[in-house]
Amino acid sequence: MFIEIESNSDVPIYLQLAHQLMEGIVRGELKPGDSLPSVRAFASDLGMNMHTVNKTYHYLEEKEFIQIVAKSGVIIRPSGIPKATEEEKQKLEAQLRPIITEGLVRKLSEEELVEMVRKLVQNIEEGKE
Amino acid sequence: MIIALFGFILLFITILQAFMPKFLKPTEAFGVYIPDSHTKDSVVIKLKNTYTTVVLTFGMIIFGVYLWWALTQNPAEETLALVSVGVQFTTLFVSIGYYFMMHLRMKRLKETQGWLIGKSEVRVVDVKFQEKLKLIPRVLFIIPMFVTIGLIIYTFMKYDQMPEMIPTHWGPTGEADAFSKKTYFSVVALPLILLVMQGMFLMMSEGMKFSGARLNPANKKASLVQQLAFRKYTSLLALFITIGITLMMGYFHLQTIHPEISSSLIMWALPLTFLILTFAVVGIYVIKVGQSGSRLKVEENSPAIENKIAVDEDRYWKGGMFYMNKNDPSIMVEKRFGVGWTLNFAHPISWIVLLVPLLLIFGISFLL
Repeated sequence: MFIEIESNSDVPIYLQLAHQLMEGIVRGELKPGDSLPSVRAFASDLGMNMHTVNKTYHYLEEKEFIQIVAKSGVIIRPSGIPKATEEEKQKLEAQLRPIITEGLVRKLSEEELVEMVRKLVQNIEEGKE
Repeated sequence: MIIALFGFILLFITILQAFMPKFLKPTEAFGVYIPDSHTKDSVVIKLKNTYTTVVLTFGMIIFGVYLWWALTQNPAEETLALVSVGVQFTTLFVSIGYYFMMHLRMKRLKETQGWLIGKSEVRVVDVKFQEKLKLIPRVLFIIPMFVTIGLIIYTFMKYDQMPEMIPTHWGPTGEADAFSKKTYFSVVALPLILLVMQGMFLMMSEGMKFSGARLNPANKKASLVQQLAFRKYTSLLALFITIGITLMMGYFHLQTIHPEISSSLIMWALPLTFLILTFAVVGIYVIKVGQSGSRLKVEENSPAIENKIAVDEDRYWKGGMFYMNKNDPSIMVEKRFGVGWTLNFAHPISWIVLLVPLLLIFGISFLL
């Protein structure tokens, strides 16, 4: 699975990395138990500081998408990622709220916003941009 | 014989240096990153061709003068060896000097024509690169080292039987022409040097695991296949040379302990065979594989995306030759101008890896 990082983007690199790995999980390119590169190997391939990769891994570990195991390295959560709990759903909603609000302020209709989400889901699943 | 040998090496260096642009990735010209959309620009091609013509012409003149001098002036063996090495270095320095002029021209061209403007620089990583990477197993590099250690132990066991003067240098005819007094150090100096060299090749092969892979966003799949193959063949080349030097130096050493197995024919033919084989293998490696596997034919599946280019790393390449990037944890990196590997000199460990084996080899030779 290929990952693409834009070096001149406004999105911090550690977040770009995390988003791309999450998309890989969605598409099934990264399956439960799959190992991810070591921090050093990943940073070497990126030509970036190891700190950046560390930050990504901790971000994903906090969300319980990956496990950082002392000996075997970094793996995608072996038991698979469970459906969001009520609490996690609320958290996502809270994060989405300002974005939806901005859309509404910009005079987007409910339909247009729903269509936007549908298209995004499709693109993520198909690996399109 | 010596003239033929040195002449052959000189010719090899000249041709390799002159045609160097042909063995490199099209996206790197004279140590400068060139986006895919400009690799076929007539200016770029013209600069490469000019370089080849100039280096080849100069090299051939030097080669001709050298042959004429060596064949008609009947120089003494010492003078001949000295001049031969001098001529090789001159050819190298001239080609490097001319490379540097081209490097500056290319850099200016890229800036003035704004090749990067409006493009988005993208870094591509294959998450499974390490899993896909197939190198020669470490153990195959370690076995020859154990052979050497065995040789050292065996030497100490046979210490009393050894001659009072230990040969340390052999002339072109295979006869020893320099000796050292027998001590516990001088009897094992040769296998110790061998051990250092074996260690270097082990590190070279293993180091590729810790070297970042640069994939081209315009053809991800092809550059991935080429990268993986390049590393595999580099590892194979390192193994070939390790086995070669082990056999050669091992025989040299054993025949000091057991003069009865010594044969001046083998002493003469073995290094020559090794040298010619090494040149042949390196030649195949350069022509068939090329830098980063750029000469390997790969079917291209993914279409080129015009506005996406690789991250421009020119600022980390001093003179287009020396890589210094503190952030990148890679120690070994692929050369930009040349086939093979160089080091990330921003890390102290690179200096250690480079200097310690050299100091050890020089130290051992000096103490003899």
